[in-house]
Amino acid sequence: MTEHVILLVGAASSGKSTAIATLFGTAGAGTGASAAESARAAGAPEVEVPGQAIDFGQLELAPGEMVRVYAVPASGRYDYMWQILKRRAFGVLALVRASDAAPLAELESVIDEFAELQLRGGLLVGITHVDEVTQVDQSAYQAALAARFPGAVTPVLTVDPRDRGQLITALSVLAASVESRQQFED
Amino acid sequence: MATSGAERDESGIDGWRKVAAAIDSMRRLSMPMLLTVVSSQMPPLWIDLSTGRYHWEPPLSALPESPGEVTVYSQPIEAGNPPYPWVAWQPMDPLLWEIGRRAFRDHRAEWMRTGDRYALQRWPNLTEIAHTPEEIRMIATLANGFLTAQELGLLAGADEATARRVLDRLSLMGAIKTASGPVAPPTVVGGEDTAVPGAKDRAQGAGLFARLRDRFDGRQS
Repeated sequence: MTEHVILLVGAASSGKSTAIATLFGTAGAGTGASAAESARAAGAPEVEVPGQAIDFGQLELAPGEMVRVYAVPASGRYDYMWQILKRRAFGVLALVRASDAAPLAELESVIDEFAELQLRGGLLVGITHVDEVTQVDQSAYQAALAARFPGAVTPVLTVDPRDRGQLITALSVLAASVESRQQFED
Repeated sequence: MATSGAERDESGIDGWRKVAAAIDSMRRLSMPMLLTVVSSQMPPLWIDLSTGRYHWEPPLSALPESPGEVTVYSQPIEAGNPPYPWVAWQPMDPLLWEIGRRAFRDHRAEWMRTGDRYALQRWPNLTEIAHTPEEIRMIATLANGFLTAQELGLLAGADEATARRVLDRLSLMGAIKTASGPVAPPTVVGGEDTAVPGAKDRAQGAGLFARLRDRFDGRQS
């Protein structure tokens, strides 16, 4: 079985669960124990399920090839399951709520956590809930990423977790980023 | 262009190219400027280059293929004091993408030079822009180094003319930068006018990007 693991990370109410439901519908998504079962099926060792729920969805690309998307809370980053998923991840879609008290501080914590994935082209920042603020200064997010990764260009997009088309665009950009980076490294 | 007042286009044919050239010229001044585009065939269009926003009364989908006879007014504005705060300003990326689509369909952007190398400076906000999978692939490719239009086409599995048009539009948006001196071509293309192994396959759907997109799109129906 070939699998492509994509993580949706973000603070509470950044839109992770909504995004999973929008992408996969209720039939394809689950939380808690069922997510753990899916992670084990993907090769993760038998471990106790941490207390925090993990929403997930999956899509068969071809026989024997799956895309699995896990929504993991940023606050769970020290959990064992979280670390397993991070190691297996092909890419990360980091959701930052524009109306957070300190969205750039939230972004900084994500940057530190996923530096290694970013170097493989596997990090995309999605700014959510932009309708709750008067204006989103995307350049501030881009500047924070450029300061941490000089010379690299990390995609920063506004994303409405209720909009399937926007989520597909974000996942497409993530996949294209990773593939093009591999092309240059081959 | 139009730095001290207005530029008038009598032909109507190259209206969007005139507007694009004015935007590029004003951006190079690196000072807060407001452009007002007055046309015979559409309501006035305001572009605030200092905050990257625009205002146009109709929806962007109503932007005409040609603006007809066009005059572009430019005026300096005070930094930190955006004009007309009572107006519903919108982010500029979608507007410039659409102006670029119309302006550079048959002509190159006049400030772009064949053989120059360009690299991505920032990702355009693609969730707000009508785009093709081919355009996503090209933009992702540009994030990895300085490329000519020919190299970009080879790497992304597109023809050179299409790559040129994407470069022109990204340049109008201020999303790419030009190599400041001689830059060796990336080893993946080696400067040869030959197809890059795997590029065509990826473009035609063999890569994860294309399959992921197709599969999700298929589920939408």
